Amino acid sequence: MSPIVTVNDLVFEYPGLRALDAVSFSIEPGTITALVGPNGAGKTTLMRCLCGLLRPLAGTIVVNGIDVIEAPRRCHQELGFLPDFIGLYDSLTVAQCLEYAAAANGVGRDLDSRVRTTAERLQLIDRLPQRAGELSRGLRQRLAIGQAIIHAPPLLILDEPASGLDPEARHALADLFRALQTQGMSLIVSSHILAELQDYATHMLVLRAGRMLEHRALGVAANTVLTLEVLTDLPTAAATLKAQAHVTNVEQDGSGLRFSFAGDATAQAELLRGLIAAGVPVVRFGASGSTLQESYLNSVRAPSSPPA
Amino acid sequence: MNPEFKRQLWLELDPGRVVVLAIVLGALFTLMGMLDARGIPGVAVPTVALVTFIAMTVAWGAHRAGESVLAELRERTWDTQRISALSPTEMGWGKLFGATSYAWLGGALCLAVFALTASHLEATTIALIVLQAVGGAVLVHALSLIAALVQAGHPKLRKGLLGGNVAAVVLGLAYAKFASGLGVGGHLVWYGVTFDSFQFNTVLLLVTAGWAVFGVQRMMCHELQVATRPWAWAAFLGYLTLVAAGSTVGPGFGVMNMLRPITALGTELALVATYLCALTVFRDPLALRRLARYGRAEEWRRLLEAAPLWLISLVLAAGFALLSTLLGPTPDSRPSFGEPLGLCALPLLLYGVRDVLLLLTVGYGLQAERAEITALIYLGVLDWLAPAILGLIGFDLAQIAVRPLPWQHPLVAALILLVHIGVIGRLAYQRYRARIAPP
Repeated sequence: MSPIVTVNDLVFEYPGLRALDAVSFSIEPGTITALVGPNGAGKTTLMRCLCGLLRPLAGTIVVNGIDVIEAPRRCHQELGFLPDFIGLYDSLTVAQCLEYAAAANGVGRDLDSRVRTTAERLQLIDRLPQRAGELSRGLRQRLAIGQAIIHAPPLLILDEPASGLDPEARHALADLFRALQTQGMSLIVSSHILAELQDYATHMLVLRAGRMLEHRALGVAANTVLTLEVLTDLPTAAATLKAQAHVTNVEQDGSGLRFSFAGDATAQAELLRGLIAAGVPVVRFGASGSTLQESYLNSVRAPSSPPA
Repeated sequence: MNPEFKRQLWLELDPGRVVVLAIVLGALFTLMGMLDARGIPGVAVPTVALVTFIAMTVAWGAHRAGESVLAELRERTWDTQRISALSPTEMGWGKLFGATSYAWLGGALCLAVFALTASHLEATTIALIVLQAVGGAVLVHALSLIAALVQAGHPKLRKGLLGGNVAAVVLGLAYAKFASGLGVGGHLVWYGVTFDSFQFNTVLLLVTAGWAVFGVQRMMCHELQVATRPWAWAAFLGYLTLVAAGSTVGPGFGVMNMLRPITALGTELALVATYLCALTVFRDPLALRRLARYGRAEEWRRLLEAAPLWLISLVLAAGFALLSTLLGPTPDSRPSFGEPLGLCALPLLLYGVRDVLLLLTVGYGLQAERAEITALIYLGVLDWLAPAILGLIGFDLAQIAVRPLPWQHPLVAALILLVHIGVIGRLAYQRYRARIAPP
């Protein structure tokens, strides 16, 4: 199956700043990619380039087989975009907002049924006659998402979609994203709330200072995070651990040590045997509960190197 | 129906507003009709209808046309529109005629009243006046929308979102002034052919309005990231040149004598366009960086698509200036607008190059918040203040070194200006290098 998004050597600059530096990746259909990185990493710029809102200095972007730079308007039928700040037409009703979004994105027929279906999916069916300006923050968010998906694009790009929502609304949003994924839609979601992304993301793309640090499927970690607890003499244990093969990023974690390990299960057993043979008083040794946050922190803390 | 046009109709043609409009205009014209019937001077219904048309359709419509983009920027909905699949043409005419639909409704009522009450005029004259009114309103609306799109495309200009409204009022007043000068009767000679001036001006206004609508489409292409080549801008400058040159070319002139004013006007108009475009969009160092990158990669199509309008205008000015120089003759004194330039074209062109480089130098500065004003002050000092002071205190050579006059010694002026260009160009390059990201 061909990728839904293919980006090659993307370069974007603001005056005095290279916001995206030779970024290349591809995204498979039916996945949810968490786009993460510190502030200023280039996440929003990348999303706006993907949507054809910004013209990059160099590189290519292909969305569902369409070159975004060459044919930005045609490409817009293939994607929906929710910007970080939601702007709605406050004077229009919810039904009019949805109808306009559908028609403006190439839905030619069955506008009414498309409006109703989308409103039902987003639990806005009772709000259709209400003006957008009268909606609460959560409902406005839903309406904005409805506008982005009403033309059933194969790709949905969301910039901080849960910002400002209460926990219940965030939970509903996660359910919606999973449902859209089940229907075959691919999503790229940028958020600072990593715990929330973990609920639904299948892949993680990490940016830092305009460069792509990592892009991989979650659960298929390049490095396993392990923990080691010892009875006494933590500094000596740490020094011994650092000298072992496949071990990186050793750091103290409470009374124990956390580290990244690049070997398989046999190598893990070998590591444990080596530690005991070196006289390290091991109390506990095992896998850390790897979260998206840990994966992200491992990525951004690792020395910068071009992605493989 | 065009979705953007439909959305604008939802917003504009609220039934309540339509009823109020009909009542207010109906009451106004009834009152004027009653006063007119009593012979009170200055209240002729046709005149009032036209004045109301200008106030409502031209001025208010210009405001609404600009607001169709400026309100999107304020409400942060512009990106939603830009991400839609609407083509630049659909978006352009949807806004141009949708956002002004209420003003047009009122305008249509005014024109209907005018046509029905102007019984003292011939039907042809009424038709021409109506065409002028419609063409003028479309022209002003399109210019207002273009001004708003220029603001949308340049984040620093967005701070002055009131600018579009001010522009609308100015455009409305300018149109009213222009329309009042279009008298019925009289003739003019254009390329040696005599025309009825009223008919000629009407056609000219309609064609120019067509260009303005086309300009909206091209500006919308730019905003919606649809790449276009710069032939439209070049063609528009060519149109302006040919229109302006028509009145300077008389019957019986040879080809050379026809080409001289055309190339002279082409040089002058292209230089004016260079200054206007450069003043509007001169602060983006990435525009030149993009050009340099495309040039190195020999991506000529993209290079043409990315070329800023000031550069296109300057290249056109260079072409016209070269022709002017070749065609001669060189005047002994300051040539008036459209007179042959001869060798004077060369220093005039170099003035343009120098001043654009000066604008770029200021625009690339790190503290470029007030770059337009700063650039204008620098130009004022360089071109007027410093030469005037030097002249007053008798430093004639220094005065020539600062502002050489093209028609006195064109080649000497060109050499001096080349030195200016060398100095300012180096400064501009240093600023450019300081602001762009490492390659």
